[in-house]
Amino acid sequence: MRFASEFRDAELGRAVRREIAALVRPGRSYKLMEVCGGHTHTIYRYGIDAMLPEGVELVHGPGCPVCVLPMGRVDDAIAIAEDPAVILTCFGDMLRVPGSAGSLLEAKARGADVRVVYSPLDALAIARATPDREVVFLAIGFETTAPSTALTLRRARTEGVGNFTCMCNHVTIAPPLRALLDSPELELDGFIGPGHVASVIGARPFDFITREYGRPVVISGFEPLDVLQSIQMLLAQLAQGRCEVANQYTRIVTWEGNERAQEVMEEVFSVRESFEWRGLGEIPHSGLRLSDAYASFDAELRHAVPGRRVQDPPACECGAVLRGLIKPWECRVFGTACTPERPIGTCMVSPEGACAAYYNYGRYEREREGVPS
Amino acid sequence: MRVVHAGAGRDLAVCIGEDGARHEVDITIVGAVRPGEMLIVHAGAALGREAA
Repeated sequence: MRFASEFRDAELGRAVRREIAALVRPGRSYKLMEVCGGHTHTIYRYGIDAMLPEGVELVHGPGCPVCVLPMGRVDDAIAIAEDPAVILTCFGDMLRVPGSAGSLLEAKARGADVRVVYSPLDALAIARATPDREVVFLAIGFETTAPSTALTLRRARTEGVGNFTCMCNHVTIAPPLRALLDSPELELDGFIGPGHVASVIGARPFDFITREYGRPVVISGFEPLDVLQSIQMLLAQLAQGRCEVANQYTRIVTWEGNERAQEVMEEVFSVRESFEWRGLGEIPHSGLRLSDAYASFDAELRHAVPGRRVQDPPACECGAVLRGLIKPWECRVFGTACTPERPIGTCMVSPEGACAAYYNYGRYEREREGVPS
Repeated sequence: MRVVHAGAGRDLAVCIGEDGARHEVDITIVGAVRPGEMLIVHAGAALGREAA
C-alpha cells in the first residue's frame, strides 16, 4: 500500500540502525520513552527493540487509552449498560477491559445491550434508528479520537437526536507526561512523541518537556522506519548536546496542529479539574468532560453511575508497566493468569497495550534467547 | 484510509482501510475530498490528508 511499504524497507532500516549504533557512546545507557501505544505495537511487531544496540532501552509510556482507563470508570459504563432502556456502544477494545465485577462483554452475556461500533458516527446512526431507546457512546481516547466524538455530538445537536448521549473518558497527553517527569521513580533521556496526537494539537504543546525538564522530544510516525529514524534523531540530539522538539512525522504533523479539530474540541469539551488514570492516580486537568453547551448529551448526567474509585487487583502490575518501571514480562501474572483471552489488566487488552503487544510478538524472541516469558 | 465515494452528503465520505473494510467518515475537518485521496482517519473522523 502506498505510504506504508516505503516505511517498511528492511535495507533502509539496517542503514538507520547503523547510524543509531554510531551515535551510542560506549558504556552509556539511554532510556527513551515511546509515549504512544501505537509505537509500542510497532516496536514489538517489527522487532525494533531487538535491533537496538546495547545500552539503548525503550520504555513504554501511558499513551494507550484503553490501558489507562481505571476500573471504576468501567464499572460506571457497566452500570449504564445494565439499564434495560440503554444501548451502550463502544469500540471493540473496550469489551474485555475488566472492571471490579467483570467486563462489558460479561454484562453483554448477562443480557445488557452492548454493541461494538467503528466510530461515534455509527453510534449516532443506531440512535437515529432506535428512537425508543437511549443510546450511549462510551468515548475513550486522547486528542486523536476526541475530535470524532466532538463532531458527532455537534451533529447530534444539529439534528436534534435526543436519545444520544456520551460517557466521556477522553484524556489529554501533556498532563501525564508532566506527572511522569515529576516522578522521582523514572529517569528518562528523551521521548518518542505521539504523532497522531500531535497531528491534532501540534508539536508545540510538547515544548515544555524541553524547556522545563531538559529532555529532547521527537514527534514520530508509526511505521518501523519512522520509529527507527526518531530514535536516531533523539540520539543525535543527545550526542550533540541539543534539546529540542523535533518533528520526524512532517508528512502529517505541524507545529500548530489542526486548528479545525482544536476548534470543535474547544466547543464540545471542557477540561475536568482532575481525572483518575490507571497506574498514575489522579492527574489535574488531564481529562475532558462535555462542555455546558453540550450537557444534555452527557450520559453521566442522564444516567446514575456508581462513580467509585476501585483498586486494581493486587496481582496486576499494569500500573508499574504504564509508569515504565517494569517490562511486561516482569509482571508476575504475564502470560499465565493474564493473557489477551482472559486479561487481568488493561495493558493485556488493547493491541496497543504493552503487555498485549509483547505477548503477541516479543515473547517468542525472548523464549529463543532462553529468557522465561 | 482511501476515499472511495465522496458524495455521501452531510460532510461524509465512504473510505476503505488497509484491511479492506469500508466505513463512513466525517470529513468536516478536512473539507471536500476526491475519490482516491488518502486521509488520516481516527475513530471515523478524517483529521488530515496524507502528503502526496
